[in-house]
Amino acid sequence: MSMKRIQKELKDLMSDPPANCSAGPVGDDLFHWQATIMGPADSPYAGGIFRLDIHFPQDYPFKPPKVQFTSKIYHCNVNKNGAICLDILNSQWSPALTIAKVLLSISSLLTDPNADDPLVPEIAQMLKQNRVKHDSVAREWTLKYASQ
Amino acid sequence: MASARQSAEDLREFGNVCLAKGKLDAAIAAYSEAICLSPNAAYYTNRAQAHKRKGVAGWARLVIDDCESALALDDKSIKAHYLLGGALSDVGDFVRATEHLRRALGLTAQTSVLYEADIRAAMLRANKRRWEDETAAAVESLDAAMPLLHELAEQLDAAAMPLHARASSPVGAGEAKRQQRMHLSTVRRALDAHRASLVAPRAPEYLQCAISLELLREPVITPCGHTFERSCIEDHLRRGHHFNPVSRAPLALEQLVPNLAVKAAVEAFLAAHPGAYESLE
Repeated sequence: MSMKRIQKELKDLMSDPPANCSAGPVGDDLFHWQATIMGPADSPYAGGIFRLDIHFPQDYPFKPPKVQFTSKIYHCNVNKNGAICLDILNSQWSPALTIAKVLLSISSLLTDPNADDPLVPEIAQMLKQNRVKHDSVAREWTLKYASQ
Repeated sequence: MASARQSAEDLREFGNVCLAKGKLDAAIAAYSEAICLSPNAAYYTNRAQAHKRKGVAGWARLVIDDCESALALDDKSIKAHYLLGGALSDVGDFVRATEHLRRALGLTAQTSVLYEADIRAAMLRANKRRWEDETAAAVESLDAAMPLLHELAEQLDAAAMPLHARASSPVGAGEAKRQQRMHLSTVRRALDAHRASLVAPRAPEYLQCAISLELLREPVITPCGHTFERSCIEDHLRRGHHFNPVSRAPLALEQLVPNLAVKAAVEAFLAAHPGAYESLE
């Protein structure tokens, strides 16, 4: 099931690619993908191209894929190892979700960071106390680590 | 005679054991000997199955021969019709392939067999390959027609000049030319539309399972009204996830009910668009 489902997702992504992201297998291994998300225009990540690593479990889609950033990003829900704190990648996963939907959710997380459930408390605190400074650091990191 | 039949039966059983173990040559040898001793449709179809699994070059011909021999002895053999249909499809004889697969499906109404779904899948595959063949031929002729049309247009253009030069009014010549161009563009549009219709449409989302992302085969509906492929939603629920994957409402196995309307809609969709079938192997 997992192999066919992954192939189907890949086919759908190629025939109808989402606007602000791309994804596909790394080499011949269908269970290991690489993805990119363009920083949303209305966020301090605008202009950046963020890379992510995706590993599908053998029992996909009944278990969520493991998704993490490989580009460094200044964001309260992403830690320095690229781990993402997003409910649909954990307890709120559903087999009706797809990589396209996951990437879309991550993209909205970039627009709207969730400071109430942070992975990096210092960044969350900065976001709450000094949004201007938070955004300027995020822009700086985007330029430094996520520009082509 | 009775002992020959008994030995043949013993050989068949031995062949079945070999087949189950994947010792295909030994199975073929055993079935062949059984056929020599006492010809029987089942021995032929078993040998056909071994040939199919062995899959050496030209396997389809061997399967066709065996299935035709089987049908000569018993024309109600579901397995013979099924294997013959698959092999004919493999050699590109889709018309006869679908005939035999349809016959096999018809016979399952009287005797149910475990591989009925396989017969259906083989039928859809044969329909799809037949459609692909026909489409490829149509596209080829369209590709040939386009430059011809272009050439014709130029010839007509050239011919129109002297023809209307004889006419007293030069306005008439211009008008004739304009009309000619209009007719040609009508033909061109018709050809373009025909070509566009030759692309297999994507299956609409409402006929797909949200879990497998494939066309529904055994659709079941939840109390919320969402439809899933039975095996997919059962797999999900059996893993201890007691919720509807789309609405997240609580859901239990015994709440699932077959959705016959969607099943019929998928069948109608595939009958209209054989090219949209995606083989599930």
